[in-house]
Amino acid sequence: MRVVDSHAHVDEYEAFGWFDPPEAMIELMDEAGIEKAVVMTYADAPVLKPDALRYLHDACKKYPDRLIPYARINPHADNAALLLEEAIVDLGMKGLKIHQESVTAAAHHGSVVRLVKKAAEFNAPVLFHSGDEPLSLPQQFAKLAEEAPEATIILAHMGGYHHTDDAIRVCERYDNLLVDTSACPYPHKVKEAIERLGAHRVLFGSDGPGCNPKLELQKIMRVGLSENEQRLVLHDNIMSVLERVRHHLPGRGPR
Amino acid sequence: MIIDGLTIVGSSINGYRLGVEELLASMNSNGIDKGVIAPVQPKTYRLEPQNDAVAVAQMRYPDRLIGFCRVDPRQGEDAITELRRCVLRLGLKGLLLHPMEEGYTINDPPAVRLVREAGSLGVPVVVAAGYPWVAHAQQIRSVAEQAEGTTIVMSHGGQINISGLAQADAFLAMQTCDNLRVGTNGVYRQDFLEECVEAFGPERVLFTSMAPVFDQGFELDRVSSIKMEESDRQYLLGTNMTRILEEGARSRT
Repeated sequence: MRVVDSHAHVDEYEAFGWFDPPEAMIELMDEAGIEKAVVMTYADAPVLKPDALRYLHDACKKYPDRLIPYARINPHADNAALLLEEAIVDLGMKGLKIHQESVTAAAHHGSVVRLVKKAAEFNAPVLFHSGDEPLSLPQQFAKLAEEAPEATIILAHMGGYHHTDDAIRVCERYDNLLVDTSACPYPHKVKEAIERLGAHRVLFGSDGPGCNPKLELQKIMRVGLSENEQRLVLHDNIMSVLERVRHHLPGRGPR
Repeated sequence: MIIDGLTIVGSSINGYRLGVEELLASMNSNGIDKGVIAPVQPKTYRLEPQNDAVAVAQMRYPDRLIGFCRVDPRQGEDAITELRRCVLRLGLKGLLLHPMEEGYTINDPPAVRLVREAGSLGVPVVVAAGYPWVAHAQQIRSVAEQAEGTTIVMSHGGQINISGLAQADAFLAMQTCDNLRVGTNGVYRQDFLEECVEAFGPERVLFTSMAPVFDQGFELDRVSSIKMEESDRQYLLGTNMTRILEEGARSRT
């Protein structure tokens, strides 16, 4: 069984009190039998952590066969689009992460929409936080999905504790929305998401190292998936998303 | 000895349901020896018959089930009367307060009065905790300060927030009040539980599944996944709840 974790973290960020260097995640991946993980920082570039992209790049360079970086960027920053382009073209990053509570903007905010559309030019996926907080509610993704139908948008956590039904509903309505299973506390809701959306739209994620990847994997095992569903959720879905990412724009060569 | 510190039995107005026999089957398949059972809020809105049903289940399975009552503080004096009836006549061993489902704020005076009364009766209180507006950790801290003689268990690790933004408040509440404990169900980030064990000792963290809202087996997996001394894990799994109940029983005699 091959497993790729589509949502994990590498960062050492004093203000949040979370110190997770790459070694912390690698150790937990080994314990859980996870081959690769998509990782991002806890803090956004350039506002909370000006060197976030460089930090992440250096961390992933230590484990190039194991860690796949997503750039976490504050869309309000004047240079957000440029930072994203540098992250994908120059640093080889594979996607964008936006945490709405951290950047104080809902998914339908104009600056978020603009940055998502920029990511879509590279076919780069955009991983969003989703949950019960005021800027992270699943129904807020409807407007974004309409304005950026070309983008691949992933709702982390499947809507948190009390908005899992909403996360599934909004994904049913828009084909460009996917969910990840990270930290969702309900195995039966993961099963329901697979039944209603199809296994091809559900991605295994752990939100490690804070959330234990082995426990998150046990959750998927509890769901009782077919071999094919398991392969899609644990590996193939995220790999096919990542394979579509291009590191230069059409008509433009590498920088 | 594994004790699940919170399950909710009956047919809830909120759409979930767990029968006693179904719970016992789940406990058997997960290797759980005993379970705390508390009632749902039923479609009738009347909690008294639900408390009676919990008492009957406890009598029927005294070696497996530990009955807690559920009372709505908005009933005022009647709530106090019902708590006393449940403890002194029905032999129930604790109190569940669910501010979110009943619709009150945990640190409103009637709720504080109930929590203090539970302490006087020698029974612990489990609060369905972490719900913003009604049962936030700092609201529960305020209750705990006014009811020092009552042991209060906060479900959900005292915080329901999948960004981890409520963890600091839950941690601070635990730091402030020795009579607070955290239950493990649904906790975002296992390292929060690890930090609680490290900072407050394994005596203040309890296995709670809050089934059927959460999956009992998966919640037991959550406790197993906490990185801690194996010799200390038993505190979470059963010793802590046993001690809380024994201390209460001693104070009643």
